[in-house]
Amino acid sequence: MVLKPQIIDLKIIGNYLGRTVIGLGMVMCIPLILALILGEINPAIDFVISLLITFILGIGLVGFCSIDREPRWMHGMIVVALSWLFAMFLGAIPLFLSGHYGSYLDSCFEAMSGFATTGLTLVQDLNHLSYAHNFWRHFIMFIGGQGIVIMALSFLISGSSGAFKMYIGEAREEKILPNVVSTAKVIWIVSLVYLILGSSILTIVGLFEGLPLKSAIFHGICIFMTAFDTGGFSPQSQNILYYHSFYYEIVTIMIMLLGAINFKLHYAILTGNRREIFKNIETVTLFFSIILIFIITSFGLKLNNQYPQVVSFFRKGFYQFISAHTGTGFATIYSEQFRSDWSTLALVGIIIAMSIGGSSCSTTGAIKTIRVGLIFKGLKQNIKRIILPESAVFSDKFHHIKDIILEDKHILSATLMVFLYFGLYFFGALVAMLFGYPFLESLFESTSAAANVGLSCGITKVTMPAVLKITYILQMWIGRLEFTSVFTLFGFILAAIKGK
Amino acid sequence: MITLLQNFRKKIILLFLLLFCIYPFIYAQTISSTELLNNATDYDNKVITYEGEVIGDILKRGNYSWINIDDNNFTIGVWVETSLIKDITFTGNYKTEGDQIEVRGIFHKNCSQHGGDLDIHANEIRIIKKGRIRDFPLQIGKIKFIVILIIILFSQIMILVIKNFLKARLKKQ
Ligand SMILES: [Zn+2]
Repeated sequence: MVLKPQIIDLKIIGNYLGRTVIGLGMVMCIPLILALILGEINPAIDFVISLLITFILGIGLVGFCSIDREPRWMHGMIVVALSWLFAMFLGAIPLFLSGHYGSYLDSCFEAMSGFATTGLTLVQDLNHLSYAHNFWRHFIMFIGGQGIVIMALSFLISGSSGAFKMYIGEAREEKILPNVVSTAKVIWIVSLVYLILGSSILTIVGLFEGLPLKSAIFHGICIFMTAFDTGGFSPQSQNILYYHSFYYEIVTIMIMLLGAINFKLHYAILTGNRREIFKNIETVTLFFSIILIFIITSFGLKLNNQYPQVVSFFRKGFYQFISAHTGTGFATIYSEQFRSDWSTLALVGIIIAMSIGGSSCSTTGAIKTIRVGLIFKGLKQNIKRIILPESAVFSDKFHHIKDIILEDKHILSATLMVFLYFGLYFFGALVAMLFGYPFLESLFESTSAAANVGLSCGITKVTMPAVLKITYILQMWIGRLEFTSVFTLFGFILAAIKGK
Repeated sequence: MITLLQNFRKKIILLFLLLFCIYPFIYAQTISSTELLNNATDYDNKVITYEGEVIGDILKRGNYSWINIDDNNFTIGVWVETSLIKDITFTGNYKTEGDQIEVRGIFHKNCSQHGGDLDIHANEIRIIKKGRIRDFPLQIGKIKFIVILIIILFSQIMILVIKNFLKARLKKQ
């Protein structure tokens, strides 16, 4: 029997949702201040409007849904799923008001792509977008990468046990410190330290490559935020090709790789445990996965000998590959070139890389290397069981911060996730094929959306069908939150309709 | 039959000769970025004319510079001697509309000098239209909307304060 949700359930959800919305309103102040400093009056007006709407909604939700009860697991999950939708609708308002989007749907697409650190874009005439709006595009990637709800909760409440439930809901299953709020703070501190370091390096490289100081700083900060949070937006329409710079590409490759590493691992390394990086199941799997899949992609690129020189092979072949594997979506080629220049095998290599992604507890989307590593370990264990005498007792371990005994439940949950992700990838591909797009391109774009990558082979355009835009929005949302919280929301809605 | 064939062959040769003569002028008219991207192999290493707005920043690299030219569809990087672009005054961004220029140069699908970039190496540059500072009329409609939103926000806060006050009094009683 399904229980029909009570008013109190709605109130708990509304209250926490309201807090997240208020948190979002607060971060909208940053682009507003930027607009005022730079004298961008109309963009400032856009942000004031968005801010007021956000506060009205947030204060309304918190005020009319006052509760004194701790949320249960179900509430936490639903709050997360809804918060991301609300963030999309509200974060899209300033973008829509900028006049650079064809419709509100397009700006919602952009906002979800930003928050979910995907990087597919529907912006028009990006080269003339204001600094404030452009900063907002990059900044929502940074917020989304950290986790919207956690961002809000770590500042608005302290030490609530409810926070942990939402932390899990945002696809961060591990705590770095015993308390979630302090974990969120560690994530913020680590990110901010890297932000200062990384944007300084990018600024220096930018200056060295001919950017004026103001642009070098702006690009440095924006590119760092979207590289480290494996997002993939860039301030100019040419993406990374705008800089025509080998050094800019090298630095972004390093930042993307840093972004694909587990935050827990960053913490271990920063606090002195350097050897962890060579032992951890995630980094080891990521390393082998990069080598193996790049070999496939290389064979594909060699087929039609697109990039005969070593330098162009690295700057075009390897760059798009690393961008795909870390789920970033930076590009040094035009989307059209994937279709015209890359062989089927090379594209398949990129699709596999995108579908795997980086570490858990990082900002990359997709299946994630730990699950791939666990499934391989499980396979090995099963083969051992067959080969070794039946009486033999053995237990396998894997190393993730500490040694953990490999159990069937690990393998089962990893397999289930892989299965769900493949389902999500094929779902989007099917929808695109319904509109007449070829199979490979449909799969490419769909995987890119669902795995929160952001590389495009040309399907994502302002002119694509609205149904396909909505499909990609759903994929980005579900893929970023790793299913559970979205499924809980669907279950809750179903219970509200059918329950007694 | 043979003469017919010879005749045909002659015609073909003539046609090729003609094509060869006018070849340098074939791409004299400007080619759009979409056309260039979609048929990159055909235009590879050929002299083309491309036209668009200079956007972003001019990236100086010694005697040469990178400029990025946007023709409303795509933006293509142009590698050009710095002395050729000294007349460019405006580059496009939020506050300015960049100079509209015509570029004549060699198109590369995967430039070997620049790590495989799709680019144009310019020989000639001509400014077609000067850029300008963009003007932004104040959007009165949006300001009116802000006033309405502020009224809603304050009345909402008032309602909440009254509601909490009544609740507290009810509890006391
Ligand atoms: Zn070149």
